[in-house]
Amino acid sequence: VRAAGNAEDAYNDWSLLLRIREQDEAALSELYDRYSGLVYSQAYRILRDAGAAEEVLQDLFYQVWRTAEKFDVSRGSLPGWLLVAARNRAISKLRGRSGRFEQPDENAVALSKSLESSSTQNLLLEKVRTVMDSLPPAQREAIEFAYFEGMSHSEIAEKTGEPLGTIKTRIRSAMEMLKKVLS
Amino acid sequence: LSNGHIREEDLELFALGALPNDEAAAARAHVSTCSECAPRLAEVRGRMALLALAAPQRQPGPDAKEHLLAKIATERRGQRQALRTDEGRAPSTMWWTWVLVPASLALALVCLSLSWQNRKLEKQLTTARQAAQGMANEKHRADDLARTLMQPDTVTVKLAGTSQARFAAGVVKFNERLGVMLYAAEQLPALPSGKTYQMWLVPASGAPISAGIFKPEEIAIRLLTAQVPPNTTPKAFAVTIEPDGGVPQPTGPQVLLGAC
Repeated sequence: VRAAGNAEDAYNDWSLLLRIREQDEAALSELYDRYSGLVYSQAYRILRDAGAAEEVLQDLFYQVWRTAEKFDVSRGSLPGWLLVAARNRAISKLRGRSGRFEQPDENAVALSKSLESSSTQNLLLEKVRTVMDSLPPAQREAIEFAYFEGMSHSEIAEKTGEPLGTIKTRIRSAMEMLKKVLS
Repeated sequence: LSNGHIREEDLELFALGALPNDEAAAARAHVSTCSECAPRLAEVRGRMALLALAAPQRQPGPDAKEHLLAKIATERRGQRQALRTDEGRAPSTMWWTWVLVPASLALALVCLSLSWQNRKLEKQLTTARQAAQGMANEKHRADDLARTLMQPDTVTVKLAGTSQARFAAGVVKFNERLGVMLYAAEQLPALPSGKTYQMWLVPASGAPISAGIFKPEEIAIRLLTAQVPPNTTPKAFAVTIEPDGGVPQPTGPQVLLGAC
C-alpha cells in the first residue's frame, strides 16, 4: 500500500534504506535525525522516563540497521512503521510485557501525509495538536489512555467508571475527528 | 464483522490494541486472510500513528545517537576484524600454498634424484655383485689352478727369448691330463700397431694349438691361463707375433720358445 502523495518521501526513505542495507552508517544517521524526535517524544510520553525512552529509540533504530532488507516501502510507510513499532515497544515496557516485537515486513502502516521534512512534520504536529485540543476532555482522555497507556476499552471503562460503549464511542469519535482533519 | 468485514470502529480499536484479547485474535486472523480489511487496517494504523504527534515534542539526548552509532561501529569493527581474520587466514593459506608448491616440486626432484641415485646404486651394487662373483670365480679358478699346479704331473717349461726378443723370458706350467696351462713372461718388446702376442702349444704330433693372445702390458701384471685339449702331449711352447685377434696357426716370428 503506497500512500497517496507520498511518493517522494517513500523514494527518499527507500534510498536511505538501500544505503543502510549497504551498511552505510551515514544513512542511518540521516534517518535517525529525520525521525528520532517523533519516535522519542512518543516513547517519552508513554514511559515518562528519558532513559527508557532512549532505550526504545536506540533499540528501534538498531533493528532498522539490522533488518533494513525486510522493509518494503511499497507496502507502507517507514516513519509510520517506526511510530507504531516504537509505541508497541514502549507500551510493552510500560506494562512490563516481554515478547516478540513486530517485524518490518509485517503489519503495514499507510501514512497519508509525508513526514520527510521538519516543515511537514511541524505542519502535521500542529494539525494533530489542534485536533486533540479540540476534542472534548473525555474523548481526549479516552484516546490518550488507549494510545499512550495501551489500555483496552474495558480497562478505560473500568478506570474512568464509564460504560464500555461510551468509551468505544469516545475513541471512535476522536479517530473520526483525526481522520477528518488529516484528509 | 459487518458484511463479512471488520467494522471501522473495531479496526481502530484493534489498531490501538484496545480490543480484548479474544476479539483481537479474531480480528488478526481475519485481516491475515482478507484482502479488503488488510489495506483498511494499514490506513487505520497510519492515522493512529499520527496520534504520536500529539505527544509534547522533545529531542533525545545527543548520547542516544552516539550510543547507537557506537554500538553499530563496534559491531562493524568486530565484523571487519572477523573479515580481516578470515582474509588473514587466506594469505596464510596462500603462503603455505606458495611454500608447499615449490616444496613439493623440490621434494619431487629429490625423489627423482634419489630414485636415479637408487637405480645408479642398484647398478653399482649389481656391478659389485658381479665383480664379487667374478672375484669369487677368479678365486675358485685360482684355487683350481693352484691345485692343478700342485699336482705331481704338472710340468714347468722355461721359455727363452729368440733373436726377436733377446732379453725376454717366460715360464709355462702345464698339466697334460687336465689340459690346463699357466704362463707368464717378462721383458717382451712393445708390439707394432695391429699386432698381438699369441701363445702356442706345439704338440708332439700335429699342428700347433693356440693357447691365447695377449699384450705385453697384460702379461706384465698377471699370470695368464689357457685350456687346451686334455691329454695333448706337448713338444714345445712358443710365443709368436701375430695380427690383432690372433690366427689359427702361427704365421709371425717367434719371440719366446721352450722345449719340453
